[in-house]
Amino acid sequence: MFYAAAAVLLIGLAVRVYTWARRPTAPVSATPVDFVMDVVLFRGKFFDDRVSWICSALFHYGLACVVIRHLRYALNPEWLGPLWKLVILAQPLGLYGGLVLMAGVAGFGLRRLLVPELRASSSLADFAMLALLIAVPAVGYLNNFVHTDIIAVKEFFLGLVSPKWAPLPSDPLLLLHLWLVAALMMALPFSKLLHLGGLFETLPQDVVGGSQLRRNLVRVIGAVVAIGLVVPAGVGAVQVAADGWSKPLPNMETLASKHKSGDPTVMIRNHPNFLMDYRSVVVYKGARDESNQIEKCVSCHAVKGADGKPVSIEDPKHFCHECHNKAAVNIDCFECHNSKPAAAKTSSVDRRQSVAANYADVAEGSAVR
Amino acid sequence: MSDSFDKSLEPSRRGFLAGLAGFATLTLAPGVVLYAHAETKPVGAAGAKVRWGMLVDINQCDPDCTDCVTACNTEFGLVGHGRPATDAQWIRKVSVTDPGSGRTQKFPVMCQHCSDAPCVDVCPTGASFNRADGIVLINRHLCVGCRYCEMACPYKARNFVHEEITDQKPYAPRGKGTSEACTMCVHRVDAGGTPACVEACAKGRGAMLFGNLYDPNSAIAKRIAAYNTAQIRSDLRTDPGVRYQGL
Repeated sequence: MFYAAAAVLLIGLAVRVYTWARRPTAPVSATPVDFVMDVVLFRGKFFDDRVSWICSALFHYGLACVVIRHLRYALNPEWLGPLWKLVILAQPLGLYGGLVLMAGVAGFGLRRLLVPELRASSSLADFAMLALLIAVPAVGYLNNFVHTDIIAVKEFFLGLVSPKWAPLPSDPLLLLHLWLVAALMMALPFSKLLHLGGLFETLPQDVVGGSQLRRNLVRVIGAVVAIGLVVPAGVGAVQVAADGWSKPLPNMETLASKHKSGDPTVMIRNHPNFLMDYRSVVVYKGARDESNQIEKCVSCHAVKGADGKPVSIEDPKHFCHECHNKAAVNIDCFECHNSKPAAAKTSSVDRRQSVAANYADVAEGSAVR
Repeated sequence: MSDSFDKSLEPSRRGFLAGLAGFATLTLAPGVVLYAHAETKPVGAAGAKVRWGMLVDINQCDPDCTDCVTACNTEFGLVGHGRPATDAQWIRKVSVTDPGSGRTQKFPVMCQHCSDAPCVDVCPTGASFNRADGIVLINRHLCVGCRYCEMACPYKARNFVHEEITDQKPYAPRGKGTSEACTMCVHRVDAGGTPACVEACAKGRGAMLFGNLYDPNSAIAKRIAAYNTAQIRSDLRTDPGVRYQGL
């Protein structure tokens, strides 16, 4: 799907740029300052249509923030070295940038609805594009509430450009978000937003078979779009149907056994929810079992440093960094909580065994009940 | 917050928490039942009411002894930074002089765990709350550090964390930019123990008593029934859970 989408977008863009370049009336900025005014501050729009300029600024700057946030899925920390810290730092920017982006699109939509002349000249396709531009970030935001395995998402996208493909997690909201993005990528070159419709008009008409070429081009692109969108939608639907629409949270036994023995995604997906639930149970209800406190996670997952003592969160080797750094997700737990286990009464291996024993009790207990 | 938390539970998650309750009960079943688990034995139900409280006998309190303060600082890792105005102080010795007679008394004051707590009233985020058993706590995941509670508290019990803190006690998370106060050693109480200050005092003159105010057979309830005890600033009707004898 993404190969097809990327191909359509890139080819569309290339052709568009080519036609631009051929056009004698192509706008050219006189000086670098003018260039900045035109491209970064949308000077033309500012004097032409103030409302459009505001919406345009909101949309494009919001989009820039969102794109920066999504770098965490496209880049590996090792490639950037110390610059990776900037990606981490920029994360909240994207979180709010998405809202700004949606405000901009909504503004364009209102403009089309409220300005009579514009309304008359608006087609269904115009509104469809705006709806798509709203739908993509809206579904994206929903993914913030239903956590997916973003490490797997990242591996999927890195896999697309490497020889090794990785599967996507089958979460309906995630798949919908990505499908909408692909649809947007494919629709963009044909929409007013990139004015690619003009492509076919600019094809040399005097060439023998020009119209034939045009028709064939339309057929090829149409087929790519259809196959690129319909097939993945089917595959995704089958995958989701097979895995179930919503996954019930695992009970204590699965949680304890699975996150150690082979299914780390259980914890990768759910640990923020678990920690918050535990927090509420502990703080409000006073049920202070050691297994429902973050202390337990910290003790079991302690990583020893060069001096043989557990390292703190400051150390890049700390357990939490394994994923959090890779996905550029900030951890603020340890601003208040201790990131190192307390002076251990027993070694961590003993503790793990005693936990395992405890969970075995639960398994027996539930069987009896 | 507690209520909305319950309502937001999906069935599966509720089942998960029920499993948690079962887990807690089972592991503790062979020994003593260390605490009343909320899922199995609701706190605050008729007949099983708990309100944790303290009684300080000022006549027994040595004016020069600061064992309770030291115990608290050790328990929670409260260290000073040489700035008395902002250093953490969850329990402190206060000296009170009667202007008429000139009689001076010294006794410890900490969070009074009011049932009608001003800090809970003013908290804009719902971070300050009364636990079902009367202990006043701060959910620091919600605290935004506005310090209204510090202003509202008539007992000056609340502290603000001014410095970055590392190596916190695992049972007592503390962080810069949040409000904090005496928790009546809730981590000990939940495990069936007594607060650190009371424990330290018991090794000395035993001026502090901890227990369930609602249990007529508890030592603290008997003492309060038998002797004249007072709540500080009872005129404010905050109904503190900490009482003083001989004030």
